[in-house]
Amino acid sequence: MLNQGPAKKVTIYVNEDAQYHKQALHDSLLTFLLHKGVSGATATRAFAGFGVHQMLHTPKVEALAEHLPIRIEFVDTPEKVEEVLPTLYEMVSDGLIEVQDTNVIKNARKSSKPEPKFPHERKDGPAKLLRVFIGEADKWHDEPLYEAIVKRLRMLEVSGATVFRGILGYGAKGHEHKKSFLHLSRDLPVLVSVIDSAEKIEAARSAIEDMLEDGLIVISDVEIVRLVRSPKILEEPDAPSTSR
Amino acid sequence: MRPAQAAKVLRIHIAEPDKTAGAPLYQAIVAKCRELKIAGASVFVGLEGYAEISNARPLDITVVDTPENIDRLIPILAEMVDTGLMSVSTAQVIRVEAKA
Repeated sequence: MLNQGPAKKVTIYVNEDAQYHKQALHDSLLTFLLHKGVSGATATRAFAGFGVHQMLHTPKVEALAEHLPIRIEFVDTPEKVEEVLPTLYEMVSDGLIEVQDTNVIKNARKSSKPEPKFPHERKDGPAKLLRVFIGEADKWHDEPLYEAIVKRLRMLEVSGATVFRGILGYGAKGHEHKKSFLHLSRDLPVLVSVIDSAEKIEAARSAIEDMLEDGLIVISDVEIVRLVRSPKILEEPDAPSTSR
Repeated sequence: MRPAQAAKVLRIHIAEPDKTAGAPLYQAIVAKCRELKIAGASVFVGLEGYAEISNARPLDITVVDTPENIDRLIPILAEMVDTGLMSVSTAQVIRVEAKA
């Protein structure tokens, strides 16, 4: 499974009519990648192009329309790419293989089945609690700062975040955060509270620090007493399937 | 990365209708914090809660400052809070300040 973070992207350019063991080369390549468990690959047919033979392949000239370039792209871990490259090198007898460093931002997989519900189970352990004190009126690129922070935390796959709005307070800016009936604008205190492992909290801290113009970030050690769903139910015989 | 400083977090759990000298207790606590030049204080309201006898909305006042300032604040606030709970924990703070 390909996770968020550094990865390799491989691009292969071949010709539509290139053959490999009497099969279309692009088909053979895709079959090979699938067989190797590569996380995903896409073949696209070009509209036009030319390669090392300096022959322009274009749909405008009927005789050349069957030799259009095909591009196969896939992204996977550096280890996986290392594993498949020698075979790809051998298979592509006419074409180009290119590898580049890339960064996976999101690799989401919609599961076809709803997640099974497990009975609750306790799980304890040390963790970090991060609290960010800001104002309700604080903005980040014209968006409420607390919303931007929660979005960013979600992208960092931090396990959860809660936003609280206070009724009174004062802080870095020295002014009173107070609800006012006379003014439409108000700047009540807002607290974003996050609990996760030390590594995740460190990542969250540095991301949030870059987003704050002023405010306070507080980190403390906590003990988690967490309720999680246990996988025990999987051992039970099939329950009647619930429709989604 | 900004240097993190050792700090303490004080949380005072009281109820919304709690009063001191006729004024809402939470307002008096925030005013006292200002008077003592404590870095900041925020008051949060709970949706629901319970404590000894009251069924009023719970309030949580969070104060973050240096260990010295929090230690100085605790006995003063303890005088003001009749029924309630105060908890202190240690923390690291990163203060981000607006560029002038």
